[in-house]
Amino acid sequence: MSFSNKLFFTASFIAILALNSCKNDENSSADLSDQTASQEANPKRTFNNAFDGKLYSVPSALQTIVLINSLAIPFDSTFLFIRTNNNPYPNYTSQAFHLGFYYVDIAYMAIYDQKGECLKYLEPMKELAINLETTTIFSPFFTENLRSNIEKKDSLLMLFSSHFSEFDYYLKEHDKKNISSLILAGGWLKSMYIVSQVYKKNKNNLLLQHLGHQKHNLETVIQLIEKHNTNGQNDDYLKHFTELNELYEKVNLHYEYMAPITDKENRVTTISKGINAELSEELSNKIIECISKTYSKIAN
Amino acid sequence: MKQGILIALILIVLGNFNSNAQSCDSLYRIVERYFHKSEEGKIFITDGQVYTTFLDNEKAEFTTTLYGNNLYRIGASAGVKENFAIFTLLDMENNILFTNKDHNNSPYWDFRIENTIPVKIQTELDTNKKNTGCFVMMIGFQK
Repeated sequence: MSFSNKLFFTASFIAILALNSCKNDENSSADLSDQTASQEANPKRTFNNAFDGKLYSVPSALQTIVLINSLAIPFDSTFLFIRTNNNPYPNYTSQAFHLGFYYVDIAYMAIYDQKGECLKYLEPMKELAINLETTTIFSPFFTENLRSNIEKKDSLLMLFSSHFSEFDYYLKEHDKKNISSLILAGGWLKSMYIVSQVYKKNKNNLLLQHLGHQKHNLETVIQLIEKHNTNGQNDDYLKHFTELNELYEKVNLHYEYMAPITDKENRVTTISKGINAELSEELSNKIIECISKTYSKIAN
Repeated sequence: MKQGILIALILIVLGNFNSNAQSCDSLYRIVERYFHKSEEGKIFITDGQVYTTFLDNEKAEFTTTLYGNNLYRIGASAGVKENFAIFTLLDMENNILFTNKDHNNSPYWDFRIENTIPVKIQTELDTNKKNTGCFVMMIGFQK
C-alpha cells in the first residue's frame, strides 16, 4: 500500500472516531443497565411501523372491557370465541384476527375473574402463534407468570399489557408488521362485538356513546387492512369493514373546542371537552347487526 | 490512490451512519419504565402498541381516541437523555391541546380525559439537539 493511501486510511479512521465521540450520547451512557447491543439505525428496518410517514394506532380493547366491567354488567360466557371445528384457518389474516379475538377473550375473562377459563385459552393461542411463526412470545416465562398471577386481577392486567407490547414490538422488529396490524384489527372487532352485544341487553348510554365513538378507530382499522392487501388477500375482510364504515358515516360527532388546563407541577393536562356521538336507535341497531355479522363471518 | 480515496469515502460514510446509530430496543425499555409505578404511585396499563419510527428531520403522526373518564400517560424517548423527543396532541380541528415542547421536552405527561376525544399525535425530534434517529412512544391508561 502506498504512503498516500495509508495516509488516507489513517485520516478516515481518525474522522470516524471523531464522529462517534462527538455525536449523540445514548451509547455512552452508563444509566441503562439493560441496554442491548447497539444496532445500526436503518430507515428501511421493518420494525419502523410508519407507513408512508404515518403511524397507526388502535385504542386498547382492554379499555372497552374495563368500561363494561365498571358498569357492573355481569360476565357473559356466550361472548367467548369457541372453535367448533378443526378446519385449518384459511390464511394468515384469519389466524391473526383469531389471535386478536383470543387476546380480548382472555382479557375479558381476567377482568371478570374467570381465572380457570383464562388458562384454557393459552393452548389455542400458542397454536396460532406457531402458525404465524411467532412462538417466541409465548415463552414458558410468560405462561408461568400468567399462572402465578392468575388470582391477582390487577397484576394480570399489567402482565397482559406488557405482553401485548412485547409481542407488538417483536412482530414489528421481525418484519411481521402485517400480523401486528391484523391482530389489532381482530382485537378491536372482538371488543366491539362484546360491547355491542352488551348494549343490546343493557341500554346504557355510555355504551351507546362508546359505540358511536369508534368512527375514527374504524377508519384506522380499514387503513391497516388496506395496507396489507397488496394481493387482494384481504378483500373479503375489507368488504365487511367498509359496509360497517358506511353506517358509521351516518353517525354525527359533535365537538366544541375548549382550551385544556395544564398543571405543570404534577405533569398533568386536563382535557374537558370531547365528542358527543349522535346516532338513532335504528342506526345503532344496524351497526350492532353489522358488527355481529362481520365478527361471525370471520370467526367461523 | 483512487482506490484508497474510494475506500476511505466508504469508511467515512459507514462511520457517519454508525455514529447516528440508535438502539431502539433500549429506547423501548426506557419508555416502558415510565408506565411502571411512578413516584406518585401511579401505574399505567399500556395500550399494547409500541409506536416506533425513524425520524430524519420530519414528523410522524397518528390518530387515536382517548376515552373519557380516564387518566392517560404518553411517554416517549429518542435517546438516553430525556429531552430529544417531542410529542404534540391536537384535536381533529388541529387545535394544539398539548406539546411537551413547552415543558422542556418532558419525556412523559399525563392527560385527564373527561370526555372521549379523538386526537392526532405528532412526533418529532428536537432538531436543536438531534436531527435524526429512532423515536419510541407508548400510551397507557390508569386502571
